[in-house]
Amino acid sequence: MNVIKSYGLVCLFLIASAFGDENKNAIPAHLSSFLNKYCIACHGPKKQKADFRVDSLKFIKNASQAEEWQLVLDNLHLQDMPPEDEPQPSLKERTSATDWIEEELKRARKALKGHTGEVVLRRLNRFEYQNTIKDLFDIQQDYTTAFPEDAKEDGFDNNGAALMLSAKQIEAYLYAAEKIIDVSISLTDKPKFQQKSVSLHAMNKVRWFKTEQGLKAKKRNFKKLTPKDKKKFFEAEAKFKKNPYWQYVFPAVKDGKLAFPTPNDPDGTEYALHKKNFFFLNPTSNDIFKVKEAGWYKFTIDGYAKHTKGESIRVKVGYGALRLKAVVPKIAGYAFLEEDKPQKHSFEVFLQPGEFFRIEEVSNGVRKISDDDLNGYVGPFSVIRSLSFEGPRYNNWPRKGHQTIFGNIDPNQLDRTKVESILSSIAPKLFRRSISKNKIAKYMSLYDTFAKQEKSLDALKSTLQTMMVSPDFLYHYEGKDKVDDYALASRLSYFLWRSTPDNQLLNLASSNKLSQPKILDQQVKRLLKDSRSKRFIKDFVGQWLQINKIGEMRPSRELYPEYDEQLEQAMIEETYGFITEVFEKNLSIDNFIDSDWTILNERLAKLYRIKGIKGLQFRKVKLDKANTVRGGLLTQASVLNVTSNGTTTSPVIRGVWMLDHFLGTPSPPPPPDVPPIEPDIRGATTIKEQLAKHREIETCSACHKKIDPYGVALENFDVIGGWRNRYRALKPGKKKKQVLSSGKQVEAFDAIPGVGKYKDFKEFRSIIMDNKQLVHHNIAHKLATFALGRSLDFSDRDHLHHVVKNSLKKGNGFRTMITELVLNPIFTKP
Amino acid sequence: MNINRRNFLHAAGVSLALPWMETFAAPSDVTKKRLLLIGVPLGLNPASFIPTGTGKNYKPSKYLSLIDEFKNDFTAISGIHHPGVVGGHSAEPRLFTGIASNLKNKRSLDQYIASHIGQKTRYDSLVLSAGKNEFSWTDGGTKVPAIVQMSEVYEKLFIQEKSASKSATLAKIGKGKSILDFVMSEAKTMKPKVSKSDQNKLNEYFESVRESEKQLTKSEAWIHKPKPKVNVKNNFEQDGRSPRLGDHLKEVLQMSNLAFQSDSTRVITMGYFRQNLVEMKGVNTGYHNLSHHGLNPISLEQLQSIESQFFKELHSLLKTLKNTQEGSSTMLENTTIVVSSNLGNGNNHSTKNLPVLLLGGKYKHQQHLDLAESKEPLSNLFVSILHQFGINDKSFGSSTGTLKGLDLA
Repeated sequence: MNVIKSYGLVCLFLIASAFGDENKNAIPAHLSSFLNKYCIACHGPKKQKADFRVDSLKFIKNASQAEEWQLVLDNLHLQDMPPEDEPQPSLKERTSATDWIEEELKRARKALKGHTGEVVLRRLNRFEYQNTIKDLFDIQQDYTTAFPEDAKEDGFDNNGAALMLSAKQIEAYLYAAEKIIDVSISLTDKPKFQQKSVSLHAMNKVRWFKTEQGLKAKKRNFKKLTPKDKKKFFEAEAKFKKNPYWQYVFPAVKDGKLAFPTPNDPDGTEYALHKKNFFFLNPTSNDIFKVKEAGWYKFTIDGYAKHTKGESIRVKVGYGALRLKAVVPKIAGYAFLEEDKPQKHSFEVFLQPGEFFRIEEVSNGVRKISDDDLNGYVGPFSVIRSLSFEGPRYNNWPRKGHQTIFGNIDPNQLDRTKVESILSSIAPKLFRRSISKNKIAKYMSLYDTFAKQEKSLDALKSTLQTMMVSPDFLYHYEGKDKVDDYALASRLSYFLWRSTPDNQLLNLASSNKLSQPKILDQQVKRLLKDSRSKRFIKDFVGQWLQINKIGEMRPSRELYPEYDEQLEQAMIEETYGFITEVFEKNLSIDNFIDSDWTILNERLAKLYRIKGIKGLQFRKVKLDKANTVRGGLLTQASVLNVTSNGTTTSPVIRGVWMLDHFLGTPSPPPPPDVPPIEPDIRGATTIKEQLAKHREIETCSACHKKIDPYGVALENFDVIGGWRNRYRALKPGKKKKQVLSSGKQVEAFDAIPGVGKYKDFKEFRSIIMDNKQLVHHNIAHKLATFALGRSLDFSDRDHLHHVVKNSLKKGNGFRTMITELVLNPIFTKP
Repeated sequence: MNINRRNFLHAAGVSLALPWMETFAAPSDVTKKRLLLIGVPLGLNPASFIPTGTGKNYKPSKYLSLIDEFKNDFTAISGIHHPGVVGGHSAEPRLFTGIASNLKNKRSLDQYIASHIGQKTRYDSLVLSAGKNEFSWTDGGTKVPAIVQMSEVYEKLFIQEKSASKSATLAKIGKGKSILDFVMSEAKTMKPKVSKSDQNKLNEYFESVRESEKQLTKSEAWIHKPKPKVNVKNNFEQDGRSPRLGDHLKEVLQMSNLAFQSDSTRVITMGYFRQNLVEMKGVNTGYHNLSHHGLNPISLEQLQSIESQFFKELHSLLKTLKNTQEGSSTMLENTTIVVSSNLGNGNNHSTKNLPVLLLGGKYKHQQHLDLAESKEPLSNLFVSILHQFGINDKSFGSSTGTLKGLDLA
């Protein structure tokens, strides 16, 4: 104690001397003695737990000093500090400390006004760039793939301070702008629309023809063949002589069973898609016709499943320019073929010349069948009655981009006046504000220089390209000191549409009406109703909960054999569906903590052990709360999956996720020199036992006592979100294979310091519900961080507090909170 | 003004001998020092990498025995890390920068060296990837995107542009410069209209545009110089999602060798990675999952197969470089190679005790340096490497000097 006291004195001295002539602005004696009594032992010269020292706290002169006080205040308010096993201050001591800090922060907020919490000039990130050109020019291709990845700050990739720029990026902007303008301008007639369909049998015929031709060609060049190829030729020829149609691709369906196809099959014979020759002869849209013009194309599968006992068969459809073996297709979608119910399944994608659709995979119980077993095979298999392909289709012709640029002007009849009118009309759209005559004049003189070298149309293109690399386009320019109506329009549309403001917003801005609270309120409602707000949900939710990372690390096949792409898709679908429902119906955000409904399909219901859900489509399901633990976001497989690695779960990782992403009370980073726990899945030890040892290390204990309980509560949920009473482990089996075995019992009880004990997840969730204001504040905080593209600080606290309070008054709906945020000065002021 | 320059180039056409001839032709008597940085984002299993015993008489580990043939040409280093760099996978961008996690990341070793020697070759540096490469960073703190498909690199390096498209490219470069000149002046008029902090943001824009102009000027000069011819066809076919990681690595290393041999660049980084399943004998679990082996012996065995494959391919690169003579030295002696990872142990994501292998170049090799006691930062190795390149900086990243125990030969 003596040592601590003397350090305390030194510290007091330091504080006093640091403020020498500002004695009236010194930290009061009662607070200094409070800090010395309760804090300095761990956060002072001797120890710097969580890298924090109270003796360096100063009277607030800048934002970072304020942040430190805010941290002290939060910890005192939440009663997180001092730790339970240390001497506790009396209520009076605590209040007198917090009162002073609150007053001081209030003073600082006023004093530092204008120096903190300002939106930083931020550039469009990749997603915003892509959406902007999509909405302006109806460009479907993604030209941002060559852009360097956007850095994340505070969990989001639209933070102005973190969005850097490099020469490579400028180069990529130059290239993208050139392409975008080229593609937008349609100088030709509208490409002809084609529509064709084929049966699988037609493809068989092509194959037979090719086989015959191939054999003939080999026969002609027989002498040139290698001995090995000669041998192959003889084998093939023998087979051909026996049955010229042996080289089939798709077997016929006769009397509900598979059979070899022949050219003489009666009309109306149906053909099956099975797994023979997989990867080499998959049907593609190129078998129907090839894509020569970019546009929207539709691929349709007309088929059904056979002998599947009520289950449906999943057919995966990919697309792309799949020339190289190693190129993996993009996914157009999945067709779920239902038993004995022929149906058309269509996929529409914007294809570039040379791209095509391809059937990638047939799954759900469809086996590979050898030729020997083919005749009379009774399934399950999928029957494809026809494949059709149509396109190109366009929403407008000339395409929207062409109209955006030229309006009614003929691109082949350009003169200087017309160019000037084109630039004057497009500049406000590209730059998202009214543009001075002076600026247009500058671009005109640039056009003039280009026009000396190039044809007028090319010179115009070069000028447009310049506009799209200029800071006016690339940055969210807001000016100085105030957010004008144009800046507000951009804030609004990039927040809720993740894209450029439309004409209505720009018009309201030009007449200075947008900032009127009533109009602003109307506009928020309009934007939220528009389908473009889906981008907001996807982008915000994906980053907030980190579920955009699902699939980055797939669970181990040995430990989780039941995990596959379908389950993965279902997990993602549930969470987006769940939040979309809360968003669209403006339900209370308390649903995020617990709910008596969720969005399920059969696959996910099976994982959750919820009975009575049939089929692969998603629907809102009422939960029988007495019999299931599910409800809210915390029990969703997506969340449980992203907080795991592919083999194990860790209460530390999940605890940190809970604190950072759900409760908004981030944990300090680990001290640098303590080795992390070495995960062990051999079955002899559990993570909780290992953690207990970890907590014995003194440097770890203070933080881990606060982190781990938030993760331990989720221990009953495994890597893929299923319920477990015991851990899964792996044992060596036969032939170097590993087999699943049952590990130790899961223990999911713990105590949260200062809050209380829980015996299982349900009790834990009730504790969270009792402290739901943390979750409310956190959501407001995350929304504001995302909306403004900046880190929030202490000066934003009051505003956020109002957002939470006002939306709580109005029913606490998700939309209500978003609206309250937009109407709040935090959003409408710099 | 810019337009004049452009007109000049148009008039000059392709045949005129431009001043670049002096600027860019490397004097033949100077040896070409090269750098290859290789990162393995999932770590290298410590028990299979770290040799037993230190100094000259160490006993090679499982992996090192795969390249034992070259033991006189490398130094294995253990017990070393970047102070203040934490966070498991998120430490990846800092492996070759050495900047602590709480600070904004800055330029990496390769980009820094490239800024010194890059003007001598057509490309300042190449950033390649056999699956992932987040190791290369610019001064301004942005990641340099990596090229995953070696077929693309082949085109860049060896496919001669036809003269028609050459003049089109020149016109494009000229236009690019005019555009950049113009947007630069636009940004300048914007500057007084924004706040102080926003002006700093605009400075980033200025710097990037200026750097981009410099690159255009360089490519303008190089376009006249014929691209080197190589004896290899463009049969490269792997991309980042192909499960054939071994083949992909082979392609990347082969391309690195070709780029060095043809002197297209002298600075390369690459990474060896797959998230999911790779096609290799005996491997049936995703690579990333294997790195979280949880001490399970079968997973460990599979992990070792994937990591051994790396050393087998490294062996063939070393062999090629060693068998190529350049004046009085072998190519290996002119090429500094570093193999390392941001993880000391994939299983627990520790960022301590990183595996480090320094190969080639002119160092006093043939030893295992265990630095656990001396607590030297890994950045010290980078300073030693800078000196090898004749860049006599005193510090880099979080360095405290050159690496003790490692002497230049």
